[in-house]
Amino acid sequence: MPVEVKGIVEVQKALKKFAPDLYKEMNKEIRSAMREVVNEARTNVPNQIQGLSGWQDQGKEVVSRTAGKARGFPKYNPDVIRKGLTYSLGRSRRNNSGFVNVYRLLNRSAAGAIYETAGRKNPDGRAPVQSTYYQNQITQGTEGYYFYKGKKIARATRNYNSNNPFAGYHFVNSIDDEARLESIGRGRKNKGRLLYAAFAKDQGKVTKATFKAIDTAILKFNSSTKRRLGLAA
Amino acid sequence: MSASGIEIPIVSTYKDKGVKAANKSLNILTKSAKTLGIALGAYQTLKFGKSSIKAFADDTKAANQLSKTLQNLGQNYAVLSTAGFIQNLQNTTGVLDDQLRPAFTTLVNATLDAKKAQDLLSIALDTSAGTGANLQSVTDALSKAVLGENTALGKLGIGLTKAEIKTMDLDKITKYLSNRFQGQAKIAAESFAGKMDILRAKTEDAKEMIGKELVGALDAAFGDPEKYGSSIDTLASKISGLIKGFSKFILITKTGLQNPTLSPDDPRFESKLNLAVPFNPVSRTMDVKAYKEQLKLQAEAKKLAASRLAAIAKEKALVAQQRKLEEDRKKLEKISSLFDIEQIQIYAALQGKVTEQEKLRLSLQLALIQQNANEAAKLATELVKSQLQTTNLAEAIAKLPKALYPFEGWSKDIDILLQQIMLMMKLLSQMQNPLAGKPVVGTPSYYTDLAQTLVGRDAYAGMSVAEIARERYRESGGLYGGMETRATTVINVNGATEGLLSELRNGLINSSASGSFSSINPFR
Repeated sequence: MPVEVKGIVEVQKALKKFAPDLYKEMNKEIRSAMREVVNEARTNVPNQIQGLSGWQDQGKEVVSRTAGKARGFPKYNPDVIRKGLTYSLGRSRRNNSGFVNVYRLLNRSAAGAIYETAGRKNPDGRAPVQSTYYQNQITQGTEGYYFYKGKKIARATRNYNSNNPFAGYHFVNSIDDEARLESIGRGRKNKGRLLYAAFAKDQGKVTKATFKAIDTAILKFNSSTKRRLGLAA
Repeated sequence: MSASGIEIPIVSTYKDKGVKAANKSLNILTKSAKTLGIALGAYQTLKFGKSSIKAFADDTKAANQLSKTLQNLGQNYAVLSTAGFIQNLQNTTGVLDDQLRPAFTTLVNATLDAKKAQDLLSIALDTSAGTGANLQSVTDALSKAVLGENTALGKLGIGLTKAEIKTMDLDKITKYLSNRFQGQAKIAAESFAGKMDILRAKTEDAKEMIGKELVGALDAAFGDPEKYGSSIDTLASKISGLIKGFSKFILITKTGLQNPTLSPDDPRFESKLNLAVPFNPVSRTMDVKAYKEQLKLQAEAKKLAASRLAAIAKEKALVAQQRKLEEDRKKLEKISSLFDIEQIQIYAALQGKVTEQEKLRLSLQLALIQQNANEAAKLATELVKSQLQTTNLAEAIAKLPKALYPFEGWSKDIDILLQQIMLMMKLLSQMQNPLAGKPVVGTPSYYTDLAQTLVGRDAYAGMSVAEIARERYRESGGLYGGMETRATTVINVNGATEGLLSELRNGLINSSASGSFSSINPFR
């Protein structure tokens, strides 16, 4: 969970300008703490997902099957995903709520993001029908059919015109078989399989180490400033 | 999910740029609203000023008209008294002088007498309050009645029929009205509405006074009153400028009080005054030297304060130590007093059987040794009291009759006894010697025998026995017997007895004086 720190940007600026060594030292400590989480996340990336061989990257160019030359659904490539799992010590853009993330863990790759969050909203994949009314009348069956008003149905309804209505279900369940969603806080948006799982496993050590590094840097900066001004503490 | 994928923020901060901008806009709006309020205030002030001047002008005009009327009627002497009368009426009844002056003018025009007009105006006020008719109507009716037209009075509803009114003259009418409505104006004035009227009247007076002062100020400023009309607009703009300036002054003062550490020259102070221009930290160069100096001074002040506190603490400790030493000394004195011989003796004496006075004296002595002033003073007082009581007792004893001296007259008895003895010796000698009672002559004496042994010695060389005997007799004072002489020796026995008695008496007295127990006792 992010922690808001007032004046961290000013601290960074001051350190960068007046004590670059301290700034580097602080970043080094933070980086090392974050790297541990990232490494843990990288180890969570499976080389292949059982049951989803079609999603595996075969080295071919991916083209959208529905939108012309648009980017297609990304293929699963563990190397790309591992590479995308990283951290950043640079400030993010201000979000809609007015917050700027200063130190953050990242999962940059598209396939990695899919693997991270698949089933976060719909744990059993997207429902065969979109309407809430119908959804309430559907009883989940196994792959390939479902029960609607007591009848066993193998195809989608008119509202969900798909030849493979259980693809989502199959996809999510296959990924779930590899790794479960781990939570680092309240709500579905704090759940994931790679970074989130690693962060949950870390149990806040990275946050603690980051704060410790910041505090140490501030302390050293203050004492060195006083010493420089001839005001030894 | 961000554009760059999924991210987990570890540390984030709030960026309030947009919020600040919004706040700034709101503040500007608020400031504009305040400025508008000030402008409205300035407008109201100006409006009040204008109405004040108008009120003063109207009042002056009415007063001048009344004065002129009185002068025309030859009632110059009544001008001042009338002005005071009207002012007084206004203050007591709450009826404005704007109404009183026309009413009085009407009446004085009818009566041609200021005193009579004043009486009638008072009656008119009572009647007006009693009937509910307005003052002008009543005064009009009364002024007509003065001229003999009583019809109008009947319309006021004063309780008289037309026939009665026709038959009544002015004196009767005024008497009737006085009896009927006397005190009505006062009662009306004492009611809430009346008090409000009085307050309103006083407010109007205040307004007129302000108008008067404003006119005076305008006179001083512009000289010609005809220019007021055009100048007052100029004045309005100046007043509004003044108010704006005053509001700025208040803003600066308020900002200064809210930020006592900021100097007015500080750009941050200016930015606080003018929110439209935010503070730019880059524009401010830091005076490191001054900052160091300030820090140094602060450190020195802190050090001084600490040393002062330490000195105070030290002094307190010293005082406490001194106090403890004093207490210890007192304790030691108390303990050592137990071994003081003098005190021990006093304590021992107190243990014995002593009189109350002696006890007091001993206690006093003890208190003096122990330097217990309070106790000593107390005991001294008690001792004085006791002594006084004892003195009274001594006086009483002195007044007792003198005790009989058992040995009184002893010397006389002894004398008599000695005389008897001497007499007996005399009788005895007469019995042995028939010549007793006569002087013994020619008996060899001690000195003659002594001279015979001494004759021929160096010390008495050349001296005869008789001469040596005489010499020895002279030297010894005749203590060892009489001198052999050829003349008859007369022994006065009585005289020898008297000497013995006196010697005995003197001996007794000396014994007494020397403190011999046996001798003193009789005198005690």
